[in-house]
Amino acid sequence: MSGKLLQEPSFLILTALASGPKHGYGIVSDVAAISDGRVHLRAGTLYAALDRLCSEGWVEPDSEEVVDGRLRRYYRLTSQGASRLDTEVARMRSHVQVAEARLRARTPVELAGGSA
Amino acid sequence: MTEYSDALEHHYRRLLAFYPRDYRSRYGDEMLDVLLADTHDHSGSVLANSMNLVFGAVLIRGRRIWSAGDASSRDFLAIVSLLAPLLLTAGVASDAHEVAWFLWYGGPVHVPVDLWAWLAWPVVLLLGLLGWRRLTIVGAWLACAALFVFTTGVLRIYTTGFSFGAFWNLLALLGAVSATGSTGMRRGLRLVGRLRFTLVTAAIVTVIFARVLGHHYTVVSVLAWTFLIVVTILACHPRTADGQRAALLLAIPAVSTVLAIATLFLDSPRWLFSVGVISIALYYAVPLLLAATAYLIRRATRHIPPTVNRP
Repeated sequence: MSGKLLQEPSFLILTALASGPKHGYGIVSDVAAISDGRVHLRAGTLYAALDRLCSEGWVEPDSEEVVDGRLRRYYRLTSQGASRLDTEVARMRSHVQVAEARLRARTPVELAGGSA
Repeated sequence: MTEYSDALEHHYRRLLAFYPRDYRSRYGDEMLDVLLADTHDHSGSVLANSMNLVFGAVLIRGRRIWSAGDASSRDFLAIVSLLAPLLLTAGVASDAHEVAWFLWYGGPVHVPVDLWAWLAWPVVLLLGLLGWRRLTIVGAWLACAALFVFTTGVLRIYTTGFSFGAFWNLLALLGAVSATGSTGMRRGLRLVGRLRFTLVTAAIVTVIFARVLGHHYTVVSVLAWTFLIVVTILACHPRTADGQRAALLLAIPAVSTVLAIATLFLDSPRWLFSVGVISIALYYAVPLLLAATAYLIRRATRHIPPTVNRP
C-alpha cells in the first residue's frame, strides 16, 4: 500500500464510491454534496484521478450502460481502496484529535482572537 | 437534441481530441457525458470545463512522456549532459562578433569580459568526453557560476541579462545538474551517435559564423538557429522515451526566451520588467517551476504502470 498522502479529489472520490458504485456524473454530484458544494470536480480532473486510482487498484469498473448513444461506466471501490481510505481517515482523525485537544487547552480569550 | 447541445458536444469533442488516443477511447464517451450533464444543470461553465480539459490533456501527455520506458533510466540526463555544454558553446557568438568587429576595423582588440565564461563550456565538454567525471562536474558548476556572474551579476547588469540571458543561465544550470546526475557524457555520445553529434557541432559553428560574418543579415542568423534547434531535437532521438525527456528538459530554458519575446510586444508593463526582482521571477522562476513540476510528476508516476496495456 502506498504511504503517500491522498490528495483531496482522490479522497473525496473514494468517499463517494464508499456508498456504492457510481458513474462519472454521479461521483461529481456526490463529491459536491459531501463537500457542501465547495469542491466541484471537472471532467478532466475526475478522469485523471480515476485513471490514477484504477492504476493503484483502489477503484475498478463495475458495470456499463449506454445512455444517449454514449457509454456510461460505473466505478466501485475495491477492498484495497476501502483499506486505503480507512488508513487515511485514521490519519486525519488522529490529527483532528490533537488539534481539538490543543484548542480546548487554550483560554476563551485566546480562542476569541486575543494574544496568547 | 437542440442546436446548442450539438454545438457544445462538437466543441467538447474537439477539445477531447487533445488527449492520447487510447485515453480518449477509454474515457472519451464518459467524459463527454459528464461535461454535457455538468453544463446542462448549469453547475459548470463551458469556459472552465474547456480550460480544465486542455490542462488535463497537457498533464496526461506530459506524465506519459515523463514516465514512459524504464523509470530508473538516467540516459536522458546523459544526453542532456552532452548536448547542454555543446549548445552553450554557441553563446560565444556575440563575443566572437565583437572581437571580429575590432579586427575588421583594425582597432585595438577589446576582449569582452564574459568571453572566458563561454569558452569554459567547450573545455567542460572535452573533459566529459575524455571521461574525467569529477573534473567535468567541478568545471560545469564553475562555468555555470561564472556565466551567471558575468551575464547578470556585478559586472554586467542589463535588463537583457535577465531576459535573454536567462536562457543561457538556465541551460548552464541544466548542464551542471545533468553532469552531476548522469552516467557521463560518453554514455550520452553513445546514445546520440557520432553523426548526430557532428551535425549539432556543425550547426553551432554555423550559428557562430552567421553572427560573426552576417552582422546585418538577421535572416541568416535565424536560419542558422532554426537549423541548430532542428538538429538538436533530432540528436535527442525523439522517438525514444529518454530522447523525449531530454528534448523536454532542453526546451525548458527556452520558455524564458519565449517570455522575453512576448514582453517585447507588451507596451504598458515594459517598465515593470526593468525591475530586477520581477524579471528574475518571470524569466527564472517560471522555467524552474516547470522543471520542478516535471520532476514531481516523474516521482509521482514512478511506481504507476503504464495505462496503455491495461484491459
